[in-house]
Amino acid sequence: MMVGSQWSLSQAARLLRQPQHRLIYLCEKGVIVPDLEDAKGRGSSRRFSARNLLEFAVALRLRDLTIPVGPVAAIIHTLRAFEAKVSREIPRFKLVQNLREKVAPDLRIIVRDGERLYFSLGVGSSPPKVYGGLDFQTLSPSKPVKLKLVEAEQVNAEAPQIRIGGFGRPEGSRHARIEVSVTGIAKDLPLDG
Amino acid sequence: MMMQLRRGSARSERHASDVWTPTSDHAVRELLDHLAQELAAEYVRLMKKAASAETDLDMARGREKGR
Repeated sequence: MMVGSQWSLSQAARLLRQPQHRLIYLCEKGVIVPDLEDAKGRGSSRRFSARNLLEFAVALRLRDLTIPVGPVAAIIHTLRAFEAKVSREIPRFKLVQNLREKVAPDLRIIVRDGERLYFSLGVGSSPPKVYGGLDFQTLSPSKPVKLKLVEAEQVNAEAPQIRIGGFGRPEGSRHARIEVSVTGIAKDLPLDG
Repeated sequence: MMMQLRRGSARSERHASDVWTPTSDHAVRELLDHLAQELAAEYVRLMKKAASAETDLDMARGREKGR
């Protein structure tokens, strides 16, 4: 794998098989912050890390699923903060490289009924644990609402009895759910070529 | 023409730090960081558990070979 490599905008777009304008949009909206160099003036250009490529891939997938840009920015921020916090405990932890390992836990993003954001983490056939519960309105610039995170223990304790029919587990979606595997996207990133 | 050039120039100088994102709000940022902390703690727990299981397996294999 090209650990420590960097990609230009055109290289990143080619690797992700996306038009450049979609990547530029995410940068201009502050969703993706180039790790290596940002375009601030004439003569400079954006350079992206492997982590940026994963962030682009996740953000583009979420945008394809019509998730608004505010929540997408919040998700990308959380992934960055997650990497920083894990690396305090596991030295040399790198989000992309570690999620691509065979034994990596499955980190997923879940959107419940189009209005609440959760993350889940699990391994193998064990039931995943769910975290979050952030209202999408909180992540919109025009609608200040009371901030609230549903505590993980509460979500996980309620999960078995939320929907008996099997739909909406474990976060308790009633009618619709979107689930995106960050681990799956990391594994499929074509970084080796 | 001049106006168009100026507008184009301003656009090209637009930078991520100038735009609103949920993390521009300190309270939202703290909430997301708390969420990341919870996820990180669980991730570390799962990885330690996996490492411990791997060690147990290696020891069992070693005992098998020793017989």
